Amino acid sequence: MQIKRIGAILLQEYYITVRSVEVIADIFFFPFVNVLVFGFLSLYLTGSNALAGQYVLLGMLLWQIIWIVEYSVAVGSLWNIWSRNLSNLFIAPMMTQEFILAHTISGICKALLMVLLTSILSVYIFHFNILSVGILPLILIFINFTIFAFAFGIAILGLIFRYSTRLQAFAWGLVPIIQPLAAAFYPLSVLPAPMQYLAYLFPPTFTFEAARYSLTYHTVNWQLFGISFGENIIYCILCIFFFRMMFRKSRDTGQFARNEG
Amino acid sequence: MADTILAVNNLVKKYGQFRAVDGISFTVPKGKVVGFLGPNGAGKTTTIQVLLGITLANGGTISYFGKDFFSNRLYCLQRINFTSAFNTLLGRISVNENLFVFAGLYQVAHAKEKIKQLLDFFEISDLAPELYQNLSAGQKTRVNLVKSLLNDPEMILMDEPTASLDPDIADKTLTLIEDLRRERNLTLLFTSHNMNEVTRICDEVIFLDHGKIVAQDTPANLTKRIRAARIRLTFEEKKEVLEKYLREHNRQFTFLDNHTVMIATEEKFIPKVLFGISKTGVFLTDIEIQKPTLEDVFLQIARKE
Repeated sequence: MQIKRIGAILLQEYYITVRSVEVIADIFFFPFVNVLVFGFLSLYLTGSNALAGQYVLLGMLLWQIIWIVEYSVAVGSLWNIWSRNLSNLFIAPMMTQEFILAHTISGICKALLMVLLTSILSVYIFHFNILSVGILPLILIFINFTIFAFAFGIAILGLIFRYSTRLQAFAWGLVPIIQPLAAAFYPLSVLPAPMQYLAYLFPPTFTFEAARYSLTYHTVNWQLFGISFGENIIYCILCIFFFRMMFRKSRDTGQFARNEG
Repeated sequence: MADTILAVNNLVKKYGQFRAVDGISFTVPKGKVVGFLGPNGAGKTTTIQVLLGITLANGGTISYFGKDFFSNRLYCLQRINFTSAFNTLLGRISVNENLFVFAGLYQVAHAKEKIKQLLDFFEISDLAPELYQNLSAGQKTRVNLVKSLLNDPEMILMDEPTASLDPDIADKTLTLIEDLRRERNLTLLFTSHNMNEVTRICDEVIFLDHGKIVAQDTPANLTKRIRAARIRLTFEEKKEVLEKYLREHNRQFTFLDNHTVMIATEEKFIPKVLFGISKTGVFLTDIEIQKPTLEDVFLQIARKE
């Protein structure tokens, strides 16, 4: 892998981000609005149960990591497809891994920035400091969510390469489906028993549980983080395999070249 | 084989049972311009896509600079480039920004100077800060050419680079391509539907039909394959004398009006026909000889005549 080529894709990501109102809205504006809405909701809930309010706000602050990283990995390529520029990129001496890694790095940077900004917002407006979760748990949460979002993003990217922009809405519309199942804003025990079993299939479920545990008890629940990490690794391997299969099939059927047509 | 830039051997691309590219083999020597021609669906674009690696082949080998493309993809792609009327750059960012991205991908040293030098060459330096989406078709073509030259490629694959351009801009673009070829000894694989362009620019033409190479030669030699030529004569009077002469000599002819006749003959008999008519005393006011063109060859192949 060449850093200069990864840098070139990152540069393109930067140009697209600053020039596209849609990206600014999706990655910066709407998360801000969401944090505000959920922040005020948490203030309202504070009257009856302070911890419940904090869970809601914490869930929303952390959800952005999944949302932004997945969005960057999956939507970054769509800009090139829409502009008929994807072939130009892939006939350049660039490895597919470099292309995906660049989008992932871009997503991580944006997610870090947004978590930082919205956390500052929540301190000043809602008097909730995300650091009360603890530095180490926050690092573990970020790593787990990033791995999951990366895996999910490349799976969607593989589907778009294979089946064209017909599935482009998956890039931004599929990951929120996980939100209620992964118990982002409430303890897993709130879900009905059958849904809890389904929720166990998603690594973010354990990460959110671990985040709430750290917020409540100010310690790291290694078991929850361990399960989440293990599931994430399995997801990651499966999604990389799936992406490679879809990418190969796309080039085999000629769909990759036709995506721009 | 040091002078061979591209060697394709028995290349096959199938979509299900349909063979889009059916075992074609050809070479492109250094410094030559090879044209890829054929009717729609002949397999030209698929072949180009396979040659660039964005579509996978089912069989055969491709080698650039003597190295197998599949196992040396990055090495080969670093030394070639591609431009097409159907692929554009990112519309929302500027020309300069687009070119900087590709300069990074091709790891161009001194990218800023290189981009400036190429923009100057194509006389589009003033477009550098413009958003790509705001450019005209002709301007986009030039910017695409700049992109395709960023890595100083030894070979460029051009898929209908002048499609959608008006004749004036297309002519200017072709002149630029001719200049580039002369100055850099570039090797080009060129597809176009415009036969005049192909005749003008290509040293060799490969005709594809149903995924197979059906003819491969220089444009001049290809047109020689069609022996038929036509002579259009305009005369003042003595139509009957002319008609009688043509009938006596078993010529195929059609009177377009009372003063114009079209005679079909083989190219080698043209002097004999004209000499014979001149001896009849018919006064010719205009002679137009229509020799076969590459378009005739194309039509003959497309119609399977």
